[in-house]
Amino acid sequence: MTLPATATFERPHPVLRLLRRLLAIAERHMFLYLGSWPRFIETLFWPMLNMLMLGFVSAYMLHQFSSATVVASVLIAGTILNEIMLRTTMGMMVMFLEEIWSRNLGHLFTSPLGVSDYIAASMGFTFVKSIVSIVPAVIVALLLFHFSLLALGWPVSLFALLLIMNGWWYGMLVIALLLRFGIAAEWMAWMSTWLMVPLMAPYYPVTILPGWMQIISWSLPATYVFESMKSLIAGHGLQADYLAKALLLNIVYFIGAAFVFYRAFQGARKRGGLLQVGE
Amino acid sequence: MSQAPWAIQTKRLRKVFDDLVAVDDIDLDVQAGTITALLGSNGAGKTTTMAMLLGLLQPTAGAITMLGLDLLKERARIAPFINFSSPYVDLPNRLTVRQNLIVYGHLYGTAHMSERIVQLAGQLQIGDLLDRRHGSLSAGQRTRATLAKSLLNEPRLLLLDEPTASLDPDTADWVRRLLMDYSKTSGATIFMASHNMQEVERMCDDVVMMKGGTIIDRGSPQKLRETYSRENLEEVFLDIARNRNL
Repeated sequence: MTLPATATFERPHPVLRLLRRLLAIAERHMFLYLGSWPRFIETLFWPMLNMLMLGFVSAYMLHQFSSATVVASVLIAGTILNEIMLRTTMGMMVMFLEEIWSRNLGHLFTSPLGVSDYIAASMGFTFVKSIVSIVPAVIVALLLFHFSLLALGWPVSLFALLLIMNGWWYGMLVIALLLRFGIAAEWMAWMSTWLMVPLMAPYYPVTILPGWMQIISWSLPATYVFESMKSLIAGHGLQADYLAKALLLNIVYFIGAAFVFYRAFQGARKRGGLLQVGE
Repeated sequence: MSQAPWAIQTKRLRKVFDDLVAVDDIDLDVQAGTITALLGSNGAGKTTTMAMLLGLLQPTAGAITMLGLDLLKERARIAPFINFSSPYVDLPNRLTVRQNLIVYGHLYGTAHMSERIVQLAGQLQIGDLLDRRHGSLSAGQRTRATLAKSLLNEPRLLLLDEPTASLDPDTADWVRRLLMDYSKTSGATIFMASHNMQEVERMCDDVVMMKGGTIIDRGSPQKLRETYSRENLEEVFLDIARNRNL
């Protein structure tokens, strides 16, 4: 049996249809941000505030100990790169929370939008959003603290990409949490976005952590990125093997997180959670 | 292009939540091109059935065929040809009506988007609301905006939950006429849940009565009135709900 055609429904190439769906989700959130200045400013505010805080700490350290240039630079670069990962994870979570808050999940998932389409669109949107969100912080670092992130050279783009990948899979796990426990788990979701930060050692060497924490720390892709960053700033080179490990771990965790997300989504479909994700 | 004789077919459709049987092995056939109502008291299983037909709720057992395709296996192929509206599922409140229609138009792949939005805005009398935020609309205006979203892709199958909820009698009247005209001119099937018996009598070719998760009767409004020897569908509904004349 074939489906009947409709007058205004186009059947362009499947890739084009997929792109339209992805753009529709990005468009939905772009409309939201462009129509809400508080939301847009908030996106830029936190990375800039953290930059100011840790920037002044690094300036104070340099004032007290003139030899602390490496530590001061690590603080500033670590802050900016840490924000990239955090903003990606939070971006994925907030995109999903917006759909819960507006009770829109039912409309979204009865449309031709697939679960994988939704994740792909979230990844694309958060990629752009997290890069945009750190621009003011990068400018503040340059103007106030005379630190140029770009002076670290091309590896910065690799660091950013690997941290965004880390944010993607972690964001999927946070959404899975919301799908499983509903909006009642919102506070847990916000908390969990920060959970990894001390463990991935953005501002200090991993060796500072207690032994058991180091084991966890070395299981996180972001740790390898930050260790590589610290090595580069200290003049010890890039440590490409660390970046390779970060990539490999990101791929493994991404597959695992996609599986967990898919199971959580199916679970919500079984329980009726897509219609009633609430307290 | 041929059209499936049945817009919806379910076989032994069942949904169990923990120890509660919400829908109990129902066989439902909805003929293509008709307007069919699903009626029942609160807790009869209407919402659960509707959610399963929309693909938002996974059945515990049974099969659902929509527009000739297996919903559980081929949702992606079916989704562009169906749509739905419910007062209990909202559109993003902070987006304007136009922005919501653009987003959903892109999701459904609607061609000639601007013209289609203008056309629907005219039909549903929401032209002056297009640039207002969805969240700032009254309940009745939101119902019309959501109906516009549900008609964007000219669906072959339109699932409606309380389509005229919160509408004043005049608006409800022309919205009913609009939906009936849409079904008649496009050949689309409308499957709706409603508690408004006059609405059902006026609009529907077929009525499915649910109680306790099962279908206990069905037929045209006239046939049901004759079967229960009642003047109107509301009395039939009360007979069924209160176990009279069964």
